[in-house]
Amino acid sequence: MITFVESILLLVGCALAVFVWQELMWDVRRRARRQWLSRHGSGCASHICGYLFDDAPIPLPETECNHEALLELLHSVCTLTSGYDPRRVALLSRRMGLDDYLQRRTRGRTRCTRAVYSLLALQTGIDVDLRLPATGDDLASQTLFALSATRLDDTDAAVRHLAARNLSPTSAAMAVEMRSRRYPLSDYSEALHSADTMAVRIGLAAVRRTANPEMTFEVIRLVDTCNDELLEDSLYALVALRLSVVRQSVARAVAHLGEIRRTRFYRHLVVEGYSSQAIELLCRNEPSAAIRDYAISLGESHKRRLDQPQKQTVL
Amino acid sequence: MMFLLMWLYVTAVTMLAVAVTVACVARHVVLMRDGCTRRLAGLWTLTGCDALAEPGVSLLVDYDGNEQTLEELLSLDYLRYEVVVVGNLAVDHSLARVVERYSMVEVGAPVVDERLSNSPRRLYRSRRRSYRRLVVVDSAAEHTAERLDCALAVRSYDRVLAVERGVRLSPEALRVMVWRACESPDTEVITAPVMTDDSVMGAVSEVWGFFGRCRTEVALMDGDTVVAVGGFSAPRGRGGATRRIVKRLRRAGCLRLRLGVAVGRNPKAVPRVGLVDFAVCHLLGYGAVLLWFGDHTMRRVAVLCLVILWLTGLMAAVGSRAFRRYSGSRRSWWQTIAVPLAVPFRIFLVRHRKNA
Repeated sequence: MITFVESILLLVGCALAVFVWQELMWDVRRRARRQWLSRHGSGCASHICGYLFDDAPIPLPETECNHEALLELLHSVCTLTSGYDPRRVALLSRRMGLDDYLQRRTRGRTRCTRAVYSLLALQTGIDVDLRLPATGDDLASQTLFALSATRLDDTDAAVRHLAARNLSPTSAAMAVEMRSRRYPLSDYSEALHSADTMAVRIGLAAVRRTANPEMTFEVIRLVDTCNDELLEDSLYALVALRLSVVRQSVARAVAHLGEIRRTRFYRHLVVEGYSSQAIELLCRNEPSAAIRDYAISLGESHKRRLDQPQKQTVL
Repeated sequence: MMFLLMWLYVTAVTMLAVAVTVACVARHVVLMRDGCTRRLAGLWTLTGCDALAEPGVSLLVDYDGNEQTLEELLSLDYLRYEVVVVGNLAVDHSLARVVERYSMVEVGAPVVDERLSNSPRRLYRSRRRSYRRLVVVDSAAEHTAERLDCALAVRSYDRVLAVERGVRLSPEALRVMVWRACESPDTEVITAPVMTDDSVMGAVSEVWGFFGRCRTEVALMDGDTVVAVGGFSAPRGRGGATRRIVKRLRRAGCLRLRLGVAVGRNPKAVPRVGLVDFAVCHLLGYGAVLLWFGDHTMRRVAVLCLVILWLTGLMAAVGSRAFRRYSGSRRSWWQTIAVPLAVPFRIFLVRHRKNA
């Protein structure tokens, strides 16, 4: 007859045994992946590159294929190279059986480890019917949502798809980054003219990433309009384009920011290499003397003082 | 009387076993989540040209004379960061060697930040592009907190992370913490424990740290918020500079996110042989042996306890492997296997002697 204490202990023991088994399996899978990569990784990578760039025949693994390792390898090749045809990657993944594998992996909640594989898959252009989380504020689900736009060929359609959800600047930048890997010549000028704030934010993220000088007038126009929601985005885009900040419109836009955001913007100007003179001119109307002095002195601290003796390595 | 003592002993041993088991399980959950976060953060490959999307971090380093630590900090897996090293150049010759080795030149006037009580004397930046992240600050301040204030004044990025003496960050530490910072943009403080030990007791202390009481931790903070509460140095109190500033920020009503991810390690405490593991397992083993000579029911309970203890030891071993993977601990395989084997081996020895 098993007593109550014994049954509790038995349950705990069983739970622990299952837990340990899962842990061990996880470790075994990880080791197998590493081992496969160390043995066949370099050869397989060169075959993949040959297929993607030199019209070589489709490389099929000679040994038993480790799907996780193969996926990582394909992701690495596609991340480190550019100019390949995404359709060839999709065909390659289908022939290697990665599509079915990913379809199995992305069932259920697409978070954490599963999300990693989905991310890998979407970056490499594999068409997976991904079950996107309906909501979710965490960056993983936002990124997954952002990555789903990479499957749309049309840039405007992708921007409309992304603008349906409130994306953070990081997720917007991630979406632009991923799309630019698949479609490097995407044009976001329509997004900058859009009435939707989120679409304009995505367009500005594209400007910050590419620093395309053709967008200069749109960015200056956005700074002039002083839209509170887009003010910071447009000012940072202006800096990314390396435009002069000594403008009345810029000073007016900066004045709309709060103290902390103003300080951050000045600090960003310093990091981006703007001269202390330009910062001083921008700070002429700065209401806080402490912030003005701090910004100017920080700008000077990034430059060498020429009025000092030249023997600088004083030890 | 003997029975009472026995009962007390058995209860204590069982409670200890349950505590250790819970600690090991919690540690595994934390490490599993850690692994997922690391893998996700590892895929986060932005180009580093968008300051809004990828916030910059200033590492404020109280230099301990270890150049290897500095090399590690300069080669972290993140794009937008700088390393601000503070020390007294007139006294600290190791820092003077750093200035010479990295071809540092004195730049500009000291930064004026009226909100902080300490200002640096001189500022050095490297002429080599490969070391553009390095900034050396010469300060006469004696205490760590005052030196960190000097570094805070000259920082170029919005987020700061104080690296105190003896703490070393893992290469992906910044990436993981910034990933979490982007996930929750309203959070001013993000703390993460520093792994201290690879024993069972180390697991217990980490889990304890996960629930709020950690011996060593690092914190990614909003620099302007730190300045607003008076910087690192005011007022002084007990504990390290990071713990004190985190406590003050919490009192000031700042939002805090505590990660279970251990992003660094304390090299002084890591490569232990696992003596504590042996002690714990042997203690539990003796308890089980005593139970073995009880009546029939007690014997069955003892067998179940033994199974749990063995699984506990096994998990400790797996946990140690995961720990070794993340922290770079050099614990060997035989040490890892010996821990779970210790208890059954002890039982076998005692039974064998009895039969003989």
